[in-house]
Amino acid sequence: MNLTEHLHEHPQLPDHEHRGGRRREAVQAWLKIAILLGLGVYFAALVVSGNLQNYINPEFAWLSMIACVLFLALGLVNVYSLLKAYVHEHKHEEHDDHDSHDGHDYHESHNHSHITLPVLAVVAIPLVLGVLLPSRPLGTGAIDVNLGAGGSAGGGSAGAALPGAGSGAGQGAYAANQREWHIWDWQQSFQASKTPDACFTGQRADVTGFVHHQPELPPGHFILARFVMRHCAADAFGVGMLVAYDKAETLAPDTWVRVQGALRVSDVAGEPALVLHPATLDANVGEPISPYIYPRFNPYALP
Amino acid sequence: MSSLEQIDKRADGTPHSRVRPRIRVAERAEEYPAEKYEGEGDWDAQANGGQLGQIFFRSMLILLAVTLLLMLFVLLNTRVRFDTLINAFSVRFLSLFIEAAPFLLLGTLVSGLIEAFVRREHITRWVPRNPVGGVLMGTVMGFAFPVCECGVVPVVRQLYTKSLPLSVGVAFLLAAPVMNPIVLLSTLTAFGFGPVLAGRFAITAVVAVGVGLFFALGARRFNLQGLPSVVDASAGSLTSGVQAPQPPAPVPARIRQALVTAGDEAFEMGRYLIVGCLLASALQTLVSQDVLLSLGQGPVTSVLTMQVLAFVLSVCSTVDAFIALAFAGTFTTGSILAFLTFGPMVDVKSTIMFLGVFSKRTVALLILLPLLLTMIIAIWLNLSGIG
Repeated sequence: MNLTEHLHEHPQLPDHEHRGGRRREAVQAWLKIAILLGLGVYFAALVVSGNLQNYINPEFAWLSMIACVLFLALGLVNVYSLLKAYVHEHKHEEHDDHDSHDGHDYHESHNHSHITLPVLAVVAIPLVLGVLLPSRPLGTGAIDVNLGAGGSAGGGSAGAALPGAGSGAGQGAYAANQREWHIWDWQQSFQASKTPDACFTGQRADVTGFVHHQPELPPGHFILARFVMRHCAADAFGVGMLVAYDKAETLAPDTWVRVQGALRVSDVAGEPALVLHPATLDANVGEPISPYIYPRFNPYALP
Repeated sequence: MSSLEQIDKRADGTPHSRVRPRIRVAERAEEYPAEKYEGEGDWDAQANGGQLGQIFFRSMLILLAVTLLLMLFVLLNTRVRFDTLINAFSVRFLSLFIEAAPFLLLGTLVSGLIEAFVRREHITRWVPRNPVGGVLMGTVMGFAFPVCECGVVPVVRQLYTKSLPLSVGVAFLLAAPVMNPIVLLSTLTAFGFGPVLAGRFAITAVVAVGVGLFFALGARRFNLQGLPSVVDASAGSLTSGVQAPQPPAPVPARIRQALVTAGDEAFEMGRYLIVGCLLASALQTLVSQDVLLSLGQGPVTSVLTMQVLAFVLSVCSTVDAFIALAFAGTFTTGSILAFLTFGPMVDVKSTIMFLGVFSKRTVALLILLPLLLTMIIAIWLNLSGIG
C-alpha cells in the first residue's frame, strides 16, 4: 500500500478525490513555488535596480519590499513542506509501517493544494510580463496631454498666482525658484493666473520632458510632456508644455530633452496656451532618474 | 433514522437534492450538536460552489480574451505602434499589481493565521444577544478578524453553527471586508486622509448596520434562512470545515501551515486581482478619456457604472482601492465610493459563495439591499457636491 492509498484509509482524514495523478500534483506544487519565488526575486530586482520608479511612487517602495519578503517566505515554506512530504513518503515506503507515524504529521506533510494550472498561469502573468518586457516609464503612447493644468485629476487645486507679479519686488528670489519649476508647476500657475500674459511673457523656464507630437499642432511645434504620478502609473496623468522649435519634426517621440528659453502666451486652437521659445535645447539628456512628477499635495485631502 | 438522513430530508419527509443540502439555521446550538456532522454535506456544497467558481473564472478569462482582441483591433486600425500600445498597457498593469500585491499578501497571511490560531469560542463569547448590540458588534468585528469578502463567508458559516444570530452574521459578512486594518491601510495609501477614506468606512458601517437590523427585525416575517452546511467538529479552530478534526499542533507547525494556507489563498485571490488589473489597464489604454468622462461625470450614470464594474471585476477589498484610483480622475467621488463599498459586499465571487450558505431569497436580499443603499448614498453625495 503506497502513501496515497494509505491516506485514503486513514480515519482522521477526509476522503477526497485526487485531481489528476501524483505527478501532476507535484508539477503544480513546484510551479506554485517557482511563481512565488520568482515574484519575490522580481520585486527585489525592481527595488535594487531602481526600475520600481517606473511603476510606483518611490515613497511606497517599502510596500514592495514587504511584498518581496512575503513572496519569498511563502515560497520557501512551500519548499519545506514539499520536501518534508517527499522525505516522509520515502520513509513510509521504506518501512511500510503505518502505525509508527504521528497522525498530525500526516496532515501537515500531506498538503493537497487546489491550485490548478489555469490559476497558476494567470498568477504567472505579471512575472512573465515583468521579465519579458523592458522596464520603461509611461511615454508618448499613453499620453492624453492636457495643455492646461493637467488631466482631470483636480490638478489645479495647488495652483497660485505668481507672487510679486508685475511689481519687481522679490523678483530675484522668485526667479531662482522658477528655474526649479517643472512643467506642471508652470501649467498650474498659468491656469490659476488671472493675467497670464502679464505674468508669464518673458519669464525664463528650464524644463525637462519627453517629446510628444500631435497632428493638430501648428508646424514647428511639439509638446514637451511629463506624467504626474500620485501612487502608481495607473493613476498617472499627462501634462505638457508647447514648445516652438523649427526642427520639431526631427525629434523622435519619447526623446527626453531639456529646454531652456523664454515663455510667451499664444493662441492655440482658440485658447491661450503657454508656449516656450527655446534658447537652448539639449536632446541628449536621456531619461532622468525620476521620470515622473510627484505632486506635493493630496487632491482628496479635506480642506 | 440517522442525523444525516434527518438533515437530508425536508420537514415533510421528501428528500433534498444531494447537490445542495438545505438545512434550516439552528436557533440554538443544541438543536444541531456539532458531533452529528461528518462533513459529507459540506463536500456537496463545496463542489457546487467550486463548479460555479470555475464557471465564473472562465467567464472572466473569456472577457479578458475579448479585451485583448479589442486591443489588437485598435492596433490594426490606428496609427498607434504595437510597442507603444503594449508599453502603455503593461506599465499600467504592472503598476497596479505592484501596488496591490503587498496588501493581497498581508490579507492572505492574516487569513492563514486566523485559520491556524483562532477558536470559535473566542468570538462567540463576546457577541451580545441584543439584536442592535449584536449587529453593531458584527459590523466592527472585522477589525479583530481581518478577512476579505472571500474569507469572511466560511468564517460566518462556522459561526452560524455556534448559535450566532443570522443578523449579526449578515452585518459581519457585509462589513468585515472593509472594516479591517488592512483595507484601512490600503485605502489610506491610495487616497490619503480625505473624503474617500472616511466615506468608505462610514457608508459601509451604515449599510451593514441597516441590512443587519433589517434581518434582525424581518427574518421571521420574510422567512429568511441561512444554512450551516459545514461544521468543524474539531477542538474549535476556525476552519472552512474541509479538514477533519485533529489534535492541536505545535505552534511552529501551525505557523508553517498558516503560511502554506496563505500561499494557496494568494493564488486563489490573486487570480481575481490580476484579471481585474488586466481589465482596468485595458480600459485605460483602449478607452479614451472623453468616453470615460461621459460615463464618469453623470451623478447617476457614474454610480451605476462603477457598481457594475465592482460587481464584475470582483477584486479583493484589500486591493480594490488601487483599481478605483485608476478611475479617480474621471469618475465622480460618489461613484468611487460606490465602487469601494458595494464591491466588497457583493460581487460575482461572493454571490457564488453566498449561494452555498444562504437560501436564494436571503441571497437576493443580500444583493439588493446593499446595492440600493450604496446607490442612494452615492447619488446623494454627487448631487449634494460633497467630496
